[in-house]
Amino acid sequence: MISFTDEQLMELFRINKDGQGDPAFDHLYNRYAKRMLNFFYYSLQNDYKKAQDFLHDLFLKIIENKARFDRSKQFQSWIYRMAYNMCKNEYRSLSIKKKYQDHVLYTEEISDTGQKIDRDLQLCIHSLEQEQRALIILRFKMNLSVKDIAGIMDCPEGTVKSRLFYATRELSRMYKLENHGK
Amino acid sequence: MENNNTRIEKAYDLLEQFDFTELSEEEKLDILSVMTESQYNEMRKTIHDMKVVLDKDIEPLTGVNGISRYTAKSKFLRFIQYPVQLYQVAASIALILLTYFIIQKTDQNSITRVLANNDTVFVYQMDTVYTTVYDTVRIREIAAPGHLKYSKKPGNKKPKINTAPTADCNRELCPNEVGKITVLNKTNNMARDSALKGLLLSLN
Repeated sequence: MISFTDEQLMELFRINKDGQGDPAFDHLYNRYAKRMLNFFYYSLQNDYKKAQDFLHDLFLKIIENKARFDRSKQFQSWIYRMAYNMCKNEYRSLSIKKKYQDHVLYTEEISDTGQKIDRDLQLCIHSLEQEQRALIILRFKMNLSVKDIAGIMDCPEGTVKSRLFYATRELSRMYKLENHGK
Repeated sequence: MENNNTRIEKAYDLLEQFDFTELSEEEKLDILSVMTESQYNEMRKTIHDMKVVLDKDIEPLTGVNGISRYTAKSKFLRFIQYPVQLYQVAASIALILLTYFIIQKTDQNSITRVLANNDTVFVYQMDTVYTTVYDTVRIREIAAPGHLKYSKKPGNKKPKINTAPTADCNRELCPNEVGKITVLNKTNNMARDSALKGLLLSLN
C-alpha cells in the first residue's frame, strides 16, 4: 500500500463511498498533514492554532470534494492549490494585517541573537505581499520545484522565477533595513 | 537579444545555486545587467538565512488516527466555532437595530395614516351633509314663503280711501271726489281721464 502514488490513493479513496476510516485517506493524511501544517503555520504568521484549524478544514474539503479531483493532474498540486486559496481568502479577510502580525511576532521573548535574527527575518517574510510570501514558503520551506509551484499557481515557470526573484530582492531589502535600523 | 524577463529568470536560477565568485565571466555580466554584486551577495545571504529560519518543522496535534477526530467534527460545530471579527459582530448588531427601527417606524406611519383617513372621512362626511343638504334645504324653506308674499303686485291694490276729517284732499282721495271720478269714467272724456290720471299719480 505504501508504494501507491498519491493519485492512486486518491482514486481508491474516491471509489470508497463510506469516506471515514478509509486506509487510502489515512495514508494521504500521513503523507501530507505535517507538510500542510507547516505551510499554514508559516503562511499564517506563525499562528499554530489557526494552522491546525486550517489543516483540519483542508482535509475536510478533500473528503467533501473527492469527486472533483481530476485524475489527470497531480494530487500534490491540487492539495497545495486548495491550501494556497484558503490562505489567500484568510489573508483577504484580515483587515488589520499589521496589528495581527505584530501581535503574533512581538509577543515572543527574545533570549539570544539567533532568535532575534529568526524573528527579524520572519517579520520580513510576513511583511511581504501574500503571493510573494506563499512563493517563498513553497520554494524554500516546502522545497517544491519551480515547475510544481507553476502548477499550483497556474502560471508559467518563467513567471514563477521572476516573481521569486522580486520577492527575494524585496525580502533582502527589508532584511537589510531591519538590521541597519537597530 | 534577451529581454529583461529572460535575464531576470536566468539571474534567479544562478542566484539560487552559485555564489558570485563561482560564476563565469559571461554569467557575471548577465547578473550585473540586472543588479550589483553586493545586491547579489545580499540576496544569497537572505536565501540562506531564510532556509535556516524556515527549516524548523512543527508537528500536527493529531497523529495517524486523527482523521476520525476531524470527520467527527460536524458542520454545525464548525459553524459555531467559526471565528468572527469584532467589527462583523458590531455591524450585524447595528444592522439588526436599524431594521428594527425601520419596521417600528413603518408601523407607526401606517397607524397614523389609518387614523388620518378616519378623521378625514368623518369631517368630510359630516360637513358635506350638514352644509349642502341640511342647510340648503332649510334656506329654501325659509325663502319660499317670502317670495310668495311678493308675487302679488302692490300696484293692483285699490287706493286707500281715507274717511278721516283731517284728510289732505290734495294727496288723498276724499269722499266727495269718488262721485266725480265715477261720472268722468262713464262719460269717457279723455281730457277728464288725463285729469284722473294726474290725480292718481299725485296720490302715489
